[in-house]
Amino acid sequence: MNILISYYSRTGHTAELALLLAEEFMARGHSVDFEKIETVEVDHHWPILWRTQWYWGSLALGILSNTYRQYFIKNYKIPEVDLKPLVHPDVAKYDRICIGSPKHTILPCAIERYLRQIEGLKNKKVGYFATWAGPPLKYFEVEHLFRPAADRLERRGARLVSILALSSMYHEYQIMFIFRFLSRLRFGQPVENFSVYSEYGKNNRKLFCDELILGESDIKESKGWRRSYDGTGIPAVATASPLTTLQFVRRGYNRYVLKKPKPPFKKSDSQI
Amino acid sequence: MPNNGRNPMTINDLRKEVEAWRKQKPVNESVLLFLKSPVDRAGALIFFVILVLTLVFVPVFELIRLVILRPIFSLFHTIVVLIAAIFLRITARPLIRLGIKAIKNKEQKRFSRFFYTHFPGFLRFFVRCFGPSLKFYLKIDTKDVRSIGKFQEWVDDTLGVEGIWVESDVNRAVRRETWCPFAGREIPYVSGAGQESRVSNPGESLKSDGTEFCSYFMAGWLNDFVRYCNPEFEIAPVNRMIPKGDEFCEFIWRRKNAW
Ligand SMILES: Cc1cc2nc3c(=O)[nH]c(=O)nc-3n(C[C@H](O)[C@H](O)[C@H](O)COP(=O)(O)O)c2cc1C
Repeated sequence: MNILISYYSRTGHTAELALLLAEEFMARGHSVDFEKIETVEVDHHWPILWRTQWYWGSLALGILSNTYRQYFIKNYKIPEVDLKPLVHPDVAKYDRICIGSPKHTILPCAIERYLRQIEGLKNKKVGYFATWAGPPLKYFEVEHLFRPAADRLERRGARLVSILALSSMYHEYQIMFIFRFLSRLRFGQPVENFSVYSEYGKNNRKLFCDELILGESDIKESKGWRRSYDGTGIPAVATASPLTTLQFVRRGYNRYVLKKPKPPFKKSDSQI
Repeated sequence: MPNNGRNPMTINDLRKEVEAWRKQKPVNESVLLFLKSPVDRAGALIFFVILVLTLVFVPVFELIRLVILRPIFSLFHTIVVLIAAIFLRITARPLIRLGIKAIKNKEQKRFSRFFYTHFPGFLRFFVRCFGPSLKFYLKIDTKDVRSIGKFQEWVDDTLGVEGIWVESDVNRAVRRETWCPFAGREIPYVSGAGQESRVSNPGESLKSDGTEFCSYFMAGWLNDFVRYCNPEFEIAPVNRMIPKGDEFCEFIWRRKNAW
């Protein structure tokens, strides 16, 4: 099979993962081409955060309301940056396309442009691999990176069939301690267990390659991210945000101020 | 040029790159050591202040926007779009008749010349008045040319034109208008189009080429809207048209220039 691996890497960790995946594909007898995505101007790391500043505030509101988070991830306009001319601007001749990037809070600006710029994505099966600093947290990490990617690929007529994200144990702002803490809190494991060279990393790299070559799954479907292009519109969001928050307050008030007991768990018919 | 004049990368290039990188792989320092350079100290301080302000104020702004402003905007823009639709519906036929006359007589009559030169300006004025509301109402994503193309769908729905999208990518979208209430009536078939039998008054139609109304005024109008939404895109010159004997009118929405 003809595979294109296009990757964007700021500090080199994603390039390393791209190499590991390429070796895996070649060991299985596939031919691999590469596209190194480079931005015209290489930014210092602070300006990148400036660009996505609105995102951070909305992240806070997203913690309070599920509906708002969904709405926001779907509608947030990721800024773009100019890329150097691509070596493979038309990917129609490849059977599988494999895109790699770090996680920059959300999809990196370079990838946002890349996914709009390449031609020939129609009916292609695409895999997306990434390195990030933290453990695979469901909402903060997985959904914020892969859902925008899946949306954009679907818009170009391609299908995201396989995803992989491993910890590089490195964060440019030196805030690994936060991710170490989160990993202990959520998984009870050190974040090293989710890194590229860990057992988890090895297994998932294999799984990623298997799924990509097989090309039968649909990440949007399996993660429950499938929605119509235009979405639910505003009224649902406008009412859901305050209401979900109020529910939260009401439940707390009942339990801790009125000291009402927790409502009994509803038994299903089979249990009665 | 397929490779944009650059050498394709091979796995050996990547191996070398990664080998070189592994020798000076960046490692995490403690936060305090990291702040030793003045740029990072300033950046971290400014970012921290802004982060705190952002975390407090953006949720407040978002709530105000979604709960109060958006419903008000929705109501306002919907009313404006309704007005635009009624205006278009009422004035379309008279304007098309005037336009066709102007195209026919632009050399001879002063009013026709005036109409021919100033009608595009009027259409641009329409876009300037109703563009923002249409953009909001149609939920247009300005990075996506198919999404901008919802404007044409709206115009078609308003005027009773029927069409389908045959291509809908983010950089190129093609719409084919398969039935038009004006073709063969206000906009006559051109001579030799092989459609004369359908025309009620063939003698009249053979004299002029009214297709300029769509290829010049209409395409210009769509172009104004595209330029208003995102100047990266444009409408290609319209060549295939029902009055010219084709099965459909084809409007191609595309990127103007290379990346
Ligand atoms: C602007 C920016 C934002 C980042 N946001 C996250 C994040 O939200 N979650 C995370 O786990 N890592 C985050 N990281 C860390 C990178 O994803 C991680 O260091 C990655 O491995 C870098 O890959 P690279 O060396 O290929 O550039 C961020 C890095 C940058 C520069």
